[in-house]
Amino acid sequence: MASEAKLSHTAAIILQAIDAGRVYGFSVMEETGLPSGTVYPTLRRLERGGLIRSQWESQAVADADQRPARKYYRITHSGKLTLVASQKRYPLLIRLFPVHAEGKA
Amino acid sequence: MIPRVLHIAILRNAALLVPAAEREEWLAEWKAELWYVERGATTFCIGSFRDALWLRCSSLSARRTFSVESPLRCVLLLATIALLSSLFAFGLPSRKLLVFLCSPSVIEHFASGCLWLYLESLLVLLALNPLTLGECQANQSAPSLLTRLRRWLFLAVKILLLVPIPLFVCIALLPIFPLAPWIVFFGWIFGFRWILADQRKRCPICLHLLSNSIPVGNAAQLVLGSYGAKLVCARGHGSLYAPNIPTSWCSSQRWQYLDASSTSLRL
Repeated sequence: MASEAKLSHTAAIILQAIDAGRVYGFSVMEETGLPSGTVYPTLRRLERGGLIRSQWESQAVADADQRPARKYYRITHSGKLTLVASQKRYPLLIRLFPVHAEGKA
Repeated sequence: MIPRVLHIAILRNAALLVPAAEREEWLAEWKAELWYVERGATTFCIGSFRDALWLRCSSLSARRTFSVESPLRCVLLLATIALLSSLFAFGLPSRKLLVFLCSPSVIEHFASGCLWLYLESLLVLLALNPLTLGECQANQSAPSLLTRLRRWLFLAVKILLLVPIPLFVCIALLPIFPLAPWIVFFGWIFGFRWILADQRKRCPICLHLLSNSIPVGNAAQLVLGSYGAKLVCARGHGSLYAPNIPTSWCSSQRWQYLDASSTSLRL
């Protein structure tokens, strides 16, 4: 997927949000302001394209925080390359979501 | 206040659309995400239908062996169907009918009947469906005359190949099915509808089908529909915003041509 130029503005915003550290679906929704019907299908498409990957957190961590386990999304190397290209095309992306140090941890 | 159990019920219903292999994990993720939603939980849950439909459609398209993504394949598919239907009409058991059709009075009758059906189907199509091809442009850079002519030629070829298909099927079925002329009527209506929809979803430059449709808008306010969808040309020629309903800010589809600066997107 990364070898092809096909990230729309919406997909680029979501990829940027994931790179900035908002790593589970609802947090991406909150940060981008996009509805669930837009965010989740885009996450699936980005994952199938190899731009992000998902991983469930351990149940022990979720239990300790007294909440359900989250499915975290992380950007891949291929996703980084695509994002850099998208940032050249859409320069305001970086200003939309400044990178959160804690989110990257 | 809508009880939580209703939101779970919405998610369970949406889960029925998800392919079985992915259903359990999909439902677990949506339930977990629902836990964080404090306001607008119903809207959030209704959005799950869009996600489930996307998964279902993508699993179906992954199984598809023949795609009409390229214009050549689309024309080849229509030509093959037209050829098969002509064989079905004239090559197989209806030779007696062929002899019957060869008499001049029958041919005249048949031709005038077809013309009427053709006009009627066009009228119905006009009433049901806008005939525009989404020419409204969002920027100034337009394709060359040759490129535009090629697009119209492609549309004309598709129409020419489609027209005989219902006719041939009708001729083949006429001896055993008296209502066969209706096949021509409905065949043309649905065929032309498909041709127009197909043409709108193609890149005006390379004529390939646009891909990576992303719904835009809040699904809940439109009873499971979004305001529109955004598609892009995989070859980098541009992107299309296609509204599902006309809005005050966008009533018809808009094509955005990408200029030379977009080459940075090609890695």
